[in-house]
Amino acid sequence: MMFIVALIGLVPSICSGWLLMQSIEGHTPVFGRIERWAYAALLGPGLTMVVAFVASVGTGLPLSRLGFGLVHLLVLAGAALAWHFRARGVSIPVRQQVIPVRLPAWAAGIGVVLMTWTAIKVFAAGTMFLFLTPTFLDDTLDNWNLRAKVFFETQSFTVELPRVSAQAVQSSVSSYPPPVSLLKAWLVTLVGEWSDAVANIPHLLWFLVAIAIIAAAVCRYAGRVWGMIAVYTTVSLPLYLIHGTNAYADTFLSAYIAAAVLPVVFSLFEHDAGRRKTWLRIAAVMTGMLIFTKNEASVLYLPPLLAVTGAALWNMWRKGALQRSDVKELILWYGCSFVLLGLPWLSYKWMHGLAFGNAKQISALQLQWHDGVGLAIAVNTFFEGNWILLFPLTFILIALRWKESLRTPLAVLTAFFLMTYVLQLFVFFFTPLAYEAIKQTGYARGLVHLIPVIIVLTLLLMKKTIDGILPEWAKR
Amino acid sequence: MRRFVTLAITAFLLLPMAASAEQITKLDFRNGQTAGRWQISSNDAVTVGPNGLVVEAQQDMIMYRIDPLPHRTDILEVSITAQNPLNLTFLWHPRSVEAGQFVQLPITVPASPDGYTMLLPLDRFPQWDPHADQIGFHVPAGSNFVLSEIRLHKFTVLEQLNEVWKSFWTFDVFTRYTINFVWGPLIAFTPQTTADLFSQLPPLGWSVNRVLYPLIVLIALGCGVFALIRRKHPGAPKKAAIALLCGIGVIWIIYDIRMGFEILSYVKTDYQTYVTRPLEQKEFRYMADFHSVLKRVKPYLNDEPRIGFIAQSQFLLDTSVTYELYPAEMVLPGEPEADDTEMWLVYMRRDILLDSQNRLASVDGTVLTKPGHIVERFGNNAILFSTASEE
Repeated sequence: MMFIVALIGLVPSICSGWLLMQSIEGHTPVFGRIERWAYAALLGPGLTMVVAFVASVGTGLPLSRLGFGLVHLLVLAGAALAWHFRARGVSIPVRQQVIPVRLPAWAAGIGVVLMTWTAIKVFAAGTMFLFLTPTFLDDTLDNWNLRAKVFFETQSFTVELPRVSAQAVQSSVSSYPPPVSLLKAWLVTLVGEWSDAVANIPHLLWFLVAIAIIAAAVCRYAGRVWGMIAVYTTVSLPLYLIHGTNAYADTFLSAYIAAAVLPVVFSLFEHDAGRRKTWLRIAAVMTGMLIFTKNEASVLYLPPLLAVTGAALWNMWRKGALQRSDVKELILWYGCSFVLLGLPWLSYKWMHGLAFGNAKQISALQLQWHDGVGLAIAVNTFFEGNWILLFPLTFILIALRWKESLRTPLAVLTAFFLMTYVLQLFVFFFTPLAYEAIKQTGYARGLVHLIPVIIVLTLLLMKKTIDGILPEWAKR
Repeated sequence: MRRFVTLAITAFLLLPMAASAEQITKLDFRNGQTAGRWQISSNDAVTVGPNGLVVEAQQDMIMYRIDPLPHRTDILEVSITAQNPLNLTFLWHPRSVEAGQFVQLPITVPASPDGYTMLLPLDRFPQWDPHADQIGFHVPAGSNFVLSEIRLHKFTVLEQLNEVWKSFWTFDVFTRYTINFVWGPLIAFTPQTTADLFSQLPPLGWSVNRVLYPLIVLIALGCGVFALIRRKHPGAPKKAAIALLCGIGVIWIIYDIRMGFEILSYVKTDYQTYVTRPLEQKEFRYMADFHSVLKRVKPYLNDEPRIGFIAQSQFLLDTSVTYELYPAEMVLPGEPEADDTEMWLVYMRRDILLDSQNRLASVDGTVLTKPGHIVERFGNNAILFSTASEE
C-alpha cells in the first residue's frame, strides 16, 4: 500500500511534464511515445520541485502533504493551461507503418535471453539495494536522504543539517540543489512516516528513464534492433547498474544531461525547420533544468553544453537552416529557461553564500600538478570492471570514424563528451580534487554522468562502421 | 573451419589432465641435514640439530642458501619453532640482479613452541623470480628459533589455468567503495592467491583486462590476416569483420555475465544475511549487526531530542546513527550537549563499563556519562543506557 501511494505521488508531476512537453512541441510533435514520457518524467518532477522550493522559500509554504499537494496542483494547472494554448487539437502523429522486424531465430533467441538477463539484474539489484536494505552509502546517509529527512521532519526548506555548524553549512552538502531530496520528502510525506524504501523510489525511475532516453535516441537513427542493443549495453555496464540501483544522484544527473544534449543533436539531423526548432526548444528547457540538479551541472557540464549548442545554432543559421528570427526566439527560450528554472536556486545560493564547487568553494581550489592521478585514471578507465570495454571502443570509434564524429550532427556528442572529459581530467590533475581520482572516490562518478551520451555516440558510430556488413534485419 | 574445430577439440581432450600435479620439494633440515649449501654471516649462530637448523643470533646476521632452487617456485612454506615472536626478513636474489643484492620481504612469526608453518605467496610480488638462485633470511640480533623445513611449491600450467578460471569467478563483496568503482574480474595463478583475492587493497591478482586487450588485438590481427590472404575471395573481408565483431561481442557478454553474477551475489548475500533473518540476527555487509541494533533502539527513543553514541571510530558508524535516529540528534562523549543527553548507545565497546557510581566509564577510568542504568542489551555488542531516573 505504501508503495502504491508513493507511486501515485509521482503520477501528477509526470503528467505535468507530459503536458508541458507537448506544449513545448506545439504543432510539430517530435517525440516517440515512450520518449515523451521519459522526458516528461524528468521535466515534470524537476519543475514541480523548483516550484516547491520557490514557494517554500518565498512564501513560507510548508513542505507538508498539503503544501506539496498545492504545488503539484498549481504545476498541473499551469501545464494544462500551456497545453490548452499550445498543443490542444494537435494530433500526435501515428507512427508510420512500420515494417515488422523479422529476426532470425538465433538472433531472436539471443535477444530474448539478453533482455531477460537485463531485466533480472535491474529487478533484483533495484529491489534489494533500494527497497529491502538499510541506507548504507556515504552520500545517501549525509546528503540525499538526510536532507530529505530534514525537509520531512521540519516541513520546511532549510540548509541546516544535524551536526553541521552554521559556519560549515555554506560549504556543506546543503550547497547542492535540492530536487532529489525534495522529491523524496514529498513521497514520504504521502505515507506519513519516514521510509527509506519510499524515499528511494525516484532512483529506479531515473535509471529507467535514462535507459529509455538512450534506447530511444539510438532507435531513432539506427533502428529498433540497435535500440535493444542500447538497453542491453547500458545495463551491462557494472558501475552504471550499481548507480542506477542505489540511492546516489549520479544516474539522475546523467539522465538530465542526456535530455539536454540529445535534442541539440536531433535538431541537426532534422530537415524540417519546424521540427528542428521544436528540438531546440526542448533542449533549452532541459538545459535550464540542469542548473537545479547538481553543482557539477552548473560548473562542469553547462559551459561545454552551451558551447556546443551555440556552435550548432551558429552552424544552422550559417547554412540557412535557421533564420535570424528563429535564433533570437531560441535564445529567448534558453534565457527564459535559465531565469525560471535556474535563477531561483542560483539566487538563493548567492544570497546565502553557498558553495558552487563539489561541496567546496571553487575559489578555494589552488592549481598545481598532482602525481599519481594519471595512473589512477588509466587503471579506473581501462583495467577495472566498471565499464567492460566501453571506453577503448569509444575512443577507437571516434578515431576511426573521425569524419562522422566531427563533421556530422554527432559532432555535438563528440565535442560535448571530449570537452567535459578534458575538463574533468583538468580538475583531477590540477586541483586538490586529485585526491578523488587517486583514491578512486570521484573520477568514475564523473563518467557515470556521461554514460548516456557516450553510449549513444558509440553505438551510432559503431552502426555506421559496420552498416555495410549488417543483414537487413539488423538495420531496422 | 569445421575440421579446425574438430582438431582443436581432439587435441584438448588428449592433453594429459593430471588431477593434481603440484610439485613440492622439501628442504628438510631435520636430523642433521642442511638441504644444500648455506652462507652464514655469523658461523657460530647456526648449528645443526635433530629438529632442524638451530639459530641463536647474538648480532644481526644473514643466512642464505647458495644452491639455486631445484625448480620454478610459485609459493614457499617455512616451518619454524620459536619460543618468542620473531621479526625476520625473507631474502631472495633475482637472477637479473647484481650478486650480493637481495629483495627483502619482512615476515612476522608468532611465538610458536609447537612449531609454526608460514606460507609465503611469492607469486603475488612482481619482484619475485621463480628461479631465484639464492634464498635466505636476515635475522635480527636476539632471535632464537629452529628452522625445520622449507617447502617449495610449483604449480603446473594446467593447475595455474584452473586457478585462473576459479579466480575469474571469485567475487568481491558490496562494500563502501562499490559505489565508486568495482575491481572487476581478477585472475590468480595459485590457490592461496585465489583464496585471498580481495583480502587487501589493492586486491591481489591481475585484472582480466590485461589478458582481454591482447586477446582482442590477436583476434583483430587474425581476422586481418585472414582477410588479406583471402582477399581475392569476395566475401572474405566481410567474414573477417563479422568474426572480429562476434569476438568482441562474445567477450562483452561473458564479462557482463561475470559482473552480473557478482552483483547478484551481493543481492544473495543481503537476502541471506539481512532480509530473511529475524531482527535480532540481521547482519548487513561489513557493518555486522549495527543496523539491527539501530532498528531495535528506535522504539526506546520516543521524543528524545538527543542520543549519545559511544563506539569505535569506524567509517560510517557516526553518519549512520545521525541519519537513522534523526530527528534525535547524535552526541559524542565530551561534546557540550553530552551533559544534557539522557540516552546513550554503546556499540562494540567491551572496554566501556559501569563504574561504582553507575556511570559509563572506560577501563582507564574516563567517565563518559552521568549515573544511570542499562535500559536494554542488544546481543553481545550493544547496550542502551539512560541517565534518566528509573520509574
